[in-house]
Amino acid sequence: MKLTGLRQIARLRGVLRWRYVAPRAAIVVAVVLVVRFGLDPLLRWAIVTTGQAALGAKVELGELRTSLKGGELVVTNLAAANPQKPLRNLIEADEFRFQFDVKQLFRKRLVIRDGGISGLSFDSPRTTSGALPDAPTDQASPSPLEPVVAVAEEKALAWFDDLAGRMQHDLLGSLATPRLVDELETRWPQQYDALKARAEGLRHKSKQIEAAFREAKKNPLRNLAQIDQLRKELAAAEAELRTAVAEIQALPSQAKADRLAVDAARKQDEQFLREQLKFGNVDAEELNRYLLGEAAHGYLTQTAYWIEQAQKFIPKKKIAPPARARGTNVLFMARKQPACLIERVRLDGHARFDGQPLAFTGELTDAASEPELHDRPLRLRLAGSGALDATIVAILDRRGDIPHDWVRIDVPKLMLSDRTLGNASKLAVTVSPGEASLQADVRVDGESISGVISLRQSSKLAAATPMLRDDRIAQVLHESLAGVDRLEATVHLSGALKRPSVRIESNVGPQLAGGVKGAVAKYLADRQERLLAKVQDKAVQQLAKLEAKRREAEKELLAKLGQDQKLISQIAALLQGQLPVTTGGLPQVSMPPVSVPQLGKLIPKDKLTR
Amino acid sequence: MLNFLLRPLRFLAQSLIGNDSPRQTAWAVALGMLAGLLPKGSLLALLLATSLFALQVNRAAGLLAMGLFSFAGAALDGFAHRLGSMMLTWPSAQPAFAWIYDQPLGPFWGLTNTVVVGQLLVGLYLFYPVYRLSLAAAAYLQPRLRDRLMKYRVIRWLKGAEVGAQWGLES
Repeated sequence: MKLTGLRQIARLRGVLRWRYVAPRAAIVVAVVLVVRFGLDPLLRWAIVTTGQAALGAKVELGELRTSLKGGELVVTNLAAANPQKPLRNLIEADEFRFQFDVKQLFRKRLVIRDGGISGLSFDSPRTTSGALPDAPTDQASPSPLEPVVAVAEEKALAWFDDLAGRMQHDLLGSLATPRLVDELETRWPQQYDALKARAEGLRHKSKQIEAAFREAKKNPLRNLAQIDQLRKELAAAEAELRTAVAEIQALPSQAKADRLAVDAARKQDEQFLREQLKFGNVDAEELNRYLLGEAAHGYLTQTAYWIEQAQKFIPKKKIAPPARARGTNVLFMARKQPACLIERVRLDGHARFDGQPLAFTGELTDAASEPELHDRPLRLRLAGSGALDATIVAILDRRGDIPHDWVRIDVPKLMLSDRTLGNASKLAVTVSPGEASLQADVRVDGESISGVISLRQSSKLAAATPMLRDDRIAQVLHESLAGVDRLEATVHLSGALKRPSVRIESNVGPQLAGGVKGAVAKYLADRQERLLAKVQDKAVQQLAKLEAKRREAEKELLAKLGQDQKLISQIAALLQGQLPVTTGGLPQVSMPPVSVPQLGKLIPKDKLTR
Repeated sequence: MLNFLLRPLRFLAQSLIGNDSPRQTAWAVALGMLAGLLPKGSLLALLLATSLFALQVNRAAGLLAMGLFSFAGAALDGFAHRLGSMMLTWPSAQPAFAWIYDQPLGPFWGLTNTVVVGQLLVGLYLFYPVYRLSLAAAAYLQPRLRDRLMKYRVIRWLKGAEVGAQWGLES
């Protein structure tokens, strides 16, 4: 037997070319040794390099151990930085432990039968920057929801600005009555001054005529021409006196006209104030979008970011590679299988929600490098406990021609802290802390998105309108939402994934719109009523004062004019008495007595009082 | 550099007038034919090429055969594909192919490819005839060619260079 073995070796030695075989055998041994001892550093380098290339940010890991015999891969302290936020990690885990099927490696496949990722956390802080030195910076593309929210904000704030503008409008300055009364008050002194000046002018003129006449009388024959002139001047003074008296006697009818003008102005003011109460309407949905759009926008942007990150790593259905140039491959199994497959990985980690610690556990199953070759879609299930009890199920199905992703979030009980909806400097709704529930059911089919996100919160709502700066309206507004003890919001998503259309239904928008509108209307109506009454009172008082002044002035002016008339009559008498008809040809001055009305009787008392 | 340039000529001379026996030359041609016909890139082709170098056969003759049959193999691809398809889809053979595929390194053998299987069948079919023909040709031609070619100085020089290369004098 031993001899046969030696003979076989001797025969083999004759058959093999040892000078060729020995070096190659040594190379194979060296390769095995390199794999045995160099696999860990090589894998470490590969994970870091490919991870950094894919992410565009630093990927760090503590320790990596492989056991090809036991089929185990352990990675500890892995941290992948967030390329958008270099001081935060996209993902961090204390330990990755995977059990892979060694036999499958010899079949060109990597199959992880079981595994666990512990100490998993997302968006955790970093002490050093995770930015790569020469990493290209991604230009943050505008969020698809930004225009929707911006339009809603513009419309809601325009509506509110209109209301606030009406409230802050200088109504008094816009009313006609005060303006007219002021105008009358300004006009009367001027009229009075003019009449007074005329009366005084007449007296002055009369005295001049009298003085001139007395001088001329000393030598009447020589001064006949002058006397004739004086007579004419006296006639002119008398005519002016009559005009002035007529003007003064017309003052009561002017007062009547003024009162009519004030009445017309009051009617005009009432119409103007009625116009002020006509508000523009705001669509409650726009108001919902304004109040809740920003919050929804934040959540959806965050969701879109994570979907985008997930899509980077989850392979899409690959385009079938071109057929092999030489022949075709025939399968000897039920179906072709993916080259890499994670059958099941348990997850546990922690996060913070609203400042509270949140622990979560979960399971990732059926993650395949060629999802179309696997019979089940990728499924991720996470259950949180602590800060909130939540269940998240995500199914990413890339088996067909169109990828189908489905995410369902169910948070039956959630404590939310106080927050402000809307623009805090203009129009906002503050929501008090309260218990809430959140359900989301979102599907992404190819390039289209659909789904519903519902939030129900038991909280007190209060409207805040810092722009109005009026305690009374603030009180009314506060009362308008005081009866609302829950916040209900339903976000309907539809349309294209890159530009989804968002419809927000909520009880806050209609309540707030009605409350604000009603409060402002009531406020304005009260204010206008008060303003109108005040203006009318003031007008009446001013008119009464004016009438009194007129009466006084009329009395005074008529007294003055009476004196003037007396003087003129005396001068006329003098002129008639002193000039006999000897001069011939000279006109006789005929001075009928000026009828100066009895002062005081001229004032129509019934028209000076209301 | 000179050695690099002369290597093809030395191979040719070695294949014709080397000290290898006709059997070694015949085995080399048969193995080279088989390796040449197969599409490269499979473990089977690698194993055959390694055998050619690892076994005590006429390497030069084997490499020449491999080169020649590589061209011939490309021309036979259509036929090999049809033959391989027939073989791979033959129900009786499928369990065996499936078993091979399911073994460790099974997918690396390339025995799921129609052309690989077809060329392998062609090669196996031709193996013995090629061996016999090569053996006869080598037995007949090698002594005559050696005598005739060794008369030329250049051949003697190339032969010497080969001996020197074998003894490590080339560097």
